[in-house]
Amino acid sequence: MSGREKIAKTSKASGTCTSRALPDAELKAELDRNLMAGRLANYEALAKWLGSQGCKIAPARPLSSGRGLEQKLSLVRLVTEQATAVIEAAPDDDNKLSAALLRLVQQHLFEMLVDLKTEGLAQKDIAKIANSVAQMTRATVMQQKWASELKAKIAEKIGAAEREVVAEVQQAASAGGGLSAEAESRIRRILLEITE
Amino acid sequence: MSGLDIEQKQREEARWRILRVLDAGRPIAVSENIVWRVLHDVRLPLSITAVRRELDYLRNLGLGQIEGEESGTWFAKLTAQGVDVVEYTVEAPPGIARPRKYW
Repeated sequence: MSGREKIAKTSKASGTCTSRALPDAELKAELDRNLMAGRLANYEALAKWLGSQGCKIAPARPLSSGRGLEQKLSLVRLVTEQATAVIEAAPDDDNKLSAALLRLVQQHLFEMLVDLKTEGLAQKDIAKIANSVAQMTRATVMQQKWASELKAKIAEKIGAAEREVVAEVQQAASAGGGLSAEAESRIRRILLEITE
Repeated sequence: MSGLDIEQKQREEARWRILRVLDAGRPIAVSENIVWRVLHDVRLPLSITAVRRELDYLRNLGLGQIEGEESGTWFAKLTAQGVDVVEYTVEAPPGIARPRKYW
């Protein structure tokens, strides 16, 4: 959505753009000129000017955004401290894993606290939540690590089997007369080993 | 600048707020999801792609570092220079709408 559409939407949504019937383009051009000339240096001046054009914008809007930002920043600081505390309390041998865990706990804890709208929660409650989030995240990270290790192991086995089968076939070809029953059984055994 | 570009102003505003979020998350690199959520909650609804674009811009200015690009989620943290911008120790680059210091 363009900025102009947003202004129009805001005006329409609040239902306060009443007396002025300027076409959008004309109003926008005027707004451009005023802003570029520095005549609308702050929100109050913008609101006043738009008001004089028949469009009123809510003065509380930027203030609440500012407060909202500070609240969210406090929450980011809080979850960072909590995440650091729980990970430091139970460090992993693997530093890389700990760093990844720390970032994920920070993220999940933030999302959880924002969604729960947890104003007024005691510090100890947040610490407990942080601990639970850390445990769940650790389990997820370990599961992912295990899955990727397993994948690597299987890939390694398949690679080894492929090399052995090729060697068997080449040996049979060089001896002439095709695959012997013994070579066939060896190949079968090599392939079965992949699944072990 | 040809005419008013409210979207550009919005991007400059978003960059300043992103710097503030990354500062709040120090010393941990902050997930792009947190950045996105904060911006969304303060009525700067950027898409995740737009958040990445601004994180990349901040990195190119030497104000931020990005980790986890190879994975699905980006995590960003401030460089020392980024911290200096947030703390008003140095001049802010022109593409960042840092409020004037009034104190």
